[in-house]
Amino acid sequence: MIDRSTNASLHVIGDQAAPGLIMAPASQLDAIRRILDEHHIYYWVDEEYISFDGEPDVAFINFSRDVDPKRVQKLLDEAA
Amino acid sequence: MSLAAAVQKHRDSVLAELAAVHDYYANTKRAWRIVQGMVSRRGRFSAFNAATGNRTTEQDLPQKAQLYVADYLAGATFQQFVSLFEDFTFGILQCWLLAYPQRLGRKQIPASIVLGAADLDEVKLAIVNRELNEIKYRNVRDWFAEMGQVVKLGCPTDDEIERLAEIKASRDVLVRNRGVANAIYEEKSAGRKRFSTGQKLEIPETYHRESWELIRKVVGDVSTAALGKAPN
Repeated sequence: MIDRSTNASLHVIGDQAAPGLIMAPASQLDAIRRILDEHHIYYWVDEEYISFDGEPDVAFINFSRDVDPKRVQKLLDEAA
Repeated sequence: MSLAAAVQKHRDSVLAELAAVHDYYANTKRAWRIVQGMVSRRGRFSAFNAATGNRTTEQDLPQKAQLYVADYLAGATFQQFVSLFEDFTFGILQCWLLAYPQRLGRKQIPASIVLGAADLDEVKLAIVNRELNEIKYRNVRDWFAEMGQVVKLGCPTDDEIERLAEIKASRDVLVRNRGVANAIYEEKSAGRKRFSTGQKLEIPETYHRESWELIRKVVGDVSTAALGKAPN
């Protein structure tokens, strides 16, 4: 999946030591939620969005430690 | 100070601190989110921690920050919420028992408490604190059963007590078992358990927020009920 504000691929931050996180435009949150819900991936979204340098709001999507960031990355890539 | 004034003062102090801890959580998370967002966009840096010998760069700070936010920060502030809940509960019991110490009239105490006290109030305080220390080691359901013996308030509800028991059990696991659920957690949290033995506990933001809201509600409800029973 492409980040519409940067035109780069959405990236899942995280590894075995740290739980996963996606920073994505808030306008794409619904599309990301659909993918995660469809694959029964446990996540929660910060209550707050943040805008950097006047750009569109960014949402922060958090994953449980049990969720493999690589799996989520694969799902996002396949949705591109 | 009257019993009502003591209850009000205690309630206001706990509510103010609950708000302060949640503000600390929200603002610290916000700061980390800004760092994560800025670094992932264009920031380049390298920092060396002389104490640990570890170097951090823009490559690994965003994911370390996620560990700090989702694990360390949420866990630490959650523990503070529970400490405030304990402080509130035992503070109310202390107010009540100091106002009506006759309930402890049959308790036996070491003579040293009496001999070392400057006045009768100091003796009362020592007796009450001894009693509270004994109750603290019991489970949350027993705390409120004990409160019901001291003064019948009609709150929290059984469901709220069950939730509080799980919250307290989660805190105990974080403090005493490096965050790994064990049999004691399962027993204390009973039907409300979120994890099984051997699993690492997590404090998702929704749970963090709901725990804070529940504790805040119970502090308000119990205080209001207590004030309704306290003579002016």
